[in-house]
Amino acid sequence: MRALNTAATGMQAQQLNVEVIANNIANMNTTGYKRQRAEFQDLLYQNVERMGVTSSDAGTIVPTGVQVGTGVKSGSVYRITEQGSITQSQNPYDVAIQGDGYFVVQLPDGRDAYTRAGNFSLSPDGQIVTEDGFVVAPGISVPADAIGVSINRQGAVQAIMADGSAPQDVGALELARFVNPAGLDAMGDNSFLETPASGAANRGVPGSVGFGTLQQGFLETSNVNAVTEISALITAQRAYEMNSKVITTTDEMLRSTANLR
Amino acid sequence: MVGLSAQQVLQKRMDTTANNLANLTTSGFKVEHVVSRSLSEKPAAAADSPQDISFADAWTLQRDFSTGPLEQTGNPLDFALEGNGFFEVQSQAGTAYTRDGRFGLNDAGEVVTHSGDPVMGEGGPITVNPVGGPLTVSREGSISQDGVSIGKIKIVQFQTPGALERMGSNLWKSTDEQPQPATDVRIAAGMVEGSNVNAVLELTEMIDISRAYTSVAKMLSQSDELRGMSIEKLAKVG
Repeated sequence: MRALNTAATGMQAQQLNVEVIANNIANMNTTGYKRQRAEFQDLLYQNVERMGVTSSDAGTIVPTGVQVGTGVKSGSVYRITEQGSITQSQNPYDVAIQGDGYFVVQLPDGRDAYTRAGNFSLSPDGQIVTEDGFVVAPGISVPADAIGVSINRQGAVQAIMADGSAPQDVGALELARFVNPAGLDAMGDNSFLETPASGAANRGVPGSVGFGTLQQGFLETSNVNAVTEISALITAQRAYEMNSKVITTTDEMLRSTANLR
Repeated sequence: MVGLSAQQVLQKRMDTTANNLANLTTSGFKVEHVVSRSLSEKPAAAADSPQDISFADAWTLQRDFSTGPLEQTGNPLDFALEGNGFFEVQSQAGTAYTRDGRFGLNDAGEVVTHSGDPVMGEGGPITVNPVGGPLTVSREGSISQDGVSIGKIKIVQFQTPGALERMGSNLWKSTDEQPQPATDVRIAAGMVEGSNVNAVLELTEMIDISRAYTSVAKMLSQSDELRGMSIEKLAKVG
């Protein structure tokens, strides 16, 4: 009986669903994390009786026919790039993006990675780097005798000097946008890589058309909503149980057939 | 033989119910049930018998096209249809229709499904300016970017949606009816239509099927027993 396999596909799908939800909940407090969603599609159908075939010489047709479905498959795990909420952190090197865009990070191997997590700090030689010590593009060095930095909404970084002289312009942070940010490849460490699906990075000044603005001293929290995730988890668990019930019932039916003789 | 035909229909009903339950969380999925009928035929073995015998036959599918629950997603390119309509999608297997409005953009800025198939607008696929600002979508399906309209999502309607053929991947194919432009269908952006499978109904349906199946099996074994007994008795008489 097909029902056994169909229910098995249902259980597999719900297992993936629970795994995705678990990862969302685990990253509830990860800066700049974007929640994911498992998406399902129905599997192929078997035509037992085709719809639209002629059912009599008078030309009447079968209106619906009989199509038996074979279960469900996982279509994609889609990342929802909705804005997370912005919380104050007081750290001058924390920068949140309000709106669309990613910070560009130069990886040690020469590639560029993209991140929404703006929890930066200074390296020993005065460069603005990520938590992992990677340089934030385009590479901004803060002079050693500066007592602080100021980052404006358009990304311009100014060093505040210890001797009370006028603040020095030391560079500007830039943002990258993608036509399809959901197509970025998550590499862990809050970072993403460009892929053919995401399209090429389009770099620009924060605050220009389409780009978000920056906020110094703030961080973007994850956009995971605990209540939604928990209710999704309950739904997934129940769906899993119901599919296992289908297997038990089908098994019972098969047993009654086996017991005929 | 009658019992066997009943069991075959019950198995088909069970398969369909299993498919409904497997798609409990599939967006835009529409629940369906096998409707059986009785077929009156003279079986070959009893062609000269005076009475017709009624067999059970899986006859047609009853599809429920009611709207599933709408769920807010936070993704601006998720669309739910309020009312009886379909999105048109250019799939590899030709024009297809879907109620699953979880769309996105591809690298060229075209509006596509998450399988990568272009979503049709009223004048072909809709392309978004990749360097432009955010999108806004009206209740009628017009998409605009930076205040300029860039296209309108095509929504179509069928007089008998039950006659559509399921292709899998949440897509439907038209069999012989040409789709009409939909009237009275509105788009809810940032929402997704869930599956309209009612788990409670499906579970009770499943219990129903399983009980019917076992009782038919019982009937079969009883008639077998009866036959055995009569053979035994006849042997004694002889």
